[in-house]
Formats: sequence, structure tokens, C-alpha cells
Amino acid sequence: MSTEQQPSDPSTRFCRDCGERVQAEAGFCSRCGRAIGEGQDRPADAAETTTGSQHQAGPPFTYNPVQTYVNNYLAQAILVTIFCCLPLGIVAIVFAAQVNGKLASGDYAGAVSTSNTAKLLCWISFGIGLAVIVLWIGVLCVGLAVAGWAGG
Amino acid sequence: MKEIAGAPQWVLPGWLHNHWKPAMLALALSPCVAALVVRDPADSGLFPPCPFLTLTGLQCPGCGTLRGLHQLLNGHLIAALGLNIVMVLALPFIAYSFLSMLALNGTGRRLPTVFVHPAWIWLLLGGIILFWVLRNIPVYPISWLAA
Repeated sequence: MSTEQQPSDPSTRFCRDCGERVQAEAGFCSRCGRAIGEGQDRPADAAETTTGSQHQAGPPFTYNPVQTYVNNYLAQAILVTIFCCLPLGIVAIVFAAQVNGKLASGDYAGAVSTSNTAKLLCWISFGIGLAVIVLWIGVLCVGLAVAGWAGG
Repeated sequence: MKEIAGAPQWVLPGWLHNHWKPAMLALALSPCVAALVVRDPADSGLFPPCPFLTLTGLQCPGCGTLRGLHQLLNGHLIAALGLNIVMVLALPFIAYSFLSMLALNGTGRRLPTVFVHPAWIWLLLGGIILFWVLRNIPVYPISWLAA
């Protein structure tokens, strides 16, 4: 039987999309760029988990495939930047870059923490932008009322 | 039907259950987009001015976004690029992120993540800061960047 495709290192993982072998701590595939984690194959573990039900009673899994995607809120950061909510949007872009940097180096906890900061900054920017719009609508209404009073 | 004690259970129809976030977003944005199609922010007092420009007299990276969107919605790509080139270039990425959100809500899977390498985002950051500085320099060739 042929075993040349079988990885010797149990921590070896493969990109689900392109099949590239990726580092165990990597946040994304080095070939196709896909975030690692959505249904990653770990042949050694997969064989274990299908053999019995002991994993239900045993300790919880430390490997969670969903955990390796962390939102960097880049789209939201760009949106609050171009819709003019002061330089906070640009700070959010800095944090977005740091999220991807930490993911790439395997620092999952750091990436989550930075992601939360990026999210908070986006919401604060959005809140300030919304406040400006509400203020502006107030100014328009006062302007209309004054014009109506003067004209009537 | 008898009312069950406790909080009422709101059950939305299937499509809306998955897509209530983008649906709310579209509902909130559609009157704004409609206003942007028919009224030009350049000569209409309907749209708010940029707070950064009002406070400092300097243009921010977002100045010209609404005027640019008005031009874009009326099919004038060159005019839109002249008002805010960063906004026009960022739109495809924003649209892709929105589609990815729809895909996540609908199918439980995101579209493939793009610009994963951090260098892309640092490049974007440098570009935006450079754009911010250059568009405030009133010298002919680069004054094209100003809104």
C-alpha cells in the first residue's frame, strides 16, 4: 500500500481549497490565501474521532476549526473613513492590518483582542457620523421653520 | 392560538430570517441613494458638510464621497474619480464584503477572504494617508486629487 501522501507530522494541515500543505500555526494558506480553518483536514485526528464515542465524554477539543477566522472589520473601517468620520476610521484600518498580522503569525488570542478594538473604533466612528447627520437634520428643520415663520 | 407565557417568539419568514441585517441596511440606505441619484450634493443643501473640513479647513480622505457617488450613480466615472479616487477604488471591495455577508447569512459560508496578507492593508493605509496629504496641496497636477 502506498503511504507517500500520508503526513508523518500529526500537526500538518492542508488547505481545504487548494490542497497546499500549511503550517500548523498559520492563519492563512500561503498558496491561495484562504483563511485556514473552515473544514481543515487533519488526517491523524480525523481517524481518531471516527473510531469511537470516547471524545464525547472526554475533555473538550482544543482544536476548533472555526476559530481561525477573525474578522478584521476592514470594510467597515474603509466605510467610516470615506464617509468622513474624522481620523478614527484610519486608526481602525491600522487595527485591521494588525488583526491579519497576528493571525498570520498564529497569535489567535491577540487577533481576537485587536479585532474587538477595530470593531469598537468602527462603531464609535459610525456613532459620531450618525450624530453629525442627526445634528444636520436638526439644522435643516430649524432652517425650514425659521424660513416658514419669516415667510408666513 | 393561545398565547404562551413569557416573551413572544417572533418567527420571520425564512428568507427574512437569514437576511434581516442586509434587509434593514438596504431599507435604511435606499432613500439616501435615491436622494443621491437626483440631487447633487455639490449644489444642494440637503447633505451634511464634512465635519473635518468645517473644523480645520482641510480636506479629509472622505471629502467628495457623496458628490462622487452622485456622479457615479449618474454614470460619470471620470468625474467621480476626480472627486474621490479612493472611494471609487474601494467600492468593489466594499461590494464584495457585502456579498460575503449575504453568503454567510444565506449559506453559512463566507466568500474566500481577499487581501489576507497584512501588507495589503498597510499598503492601503499608506495610500490613504498619502492621498490625505496630497489632496490638500493646491499645486496643479496633484490638485486633481482634491474634491
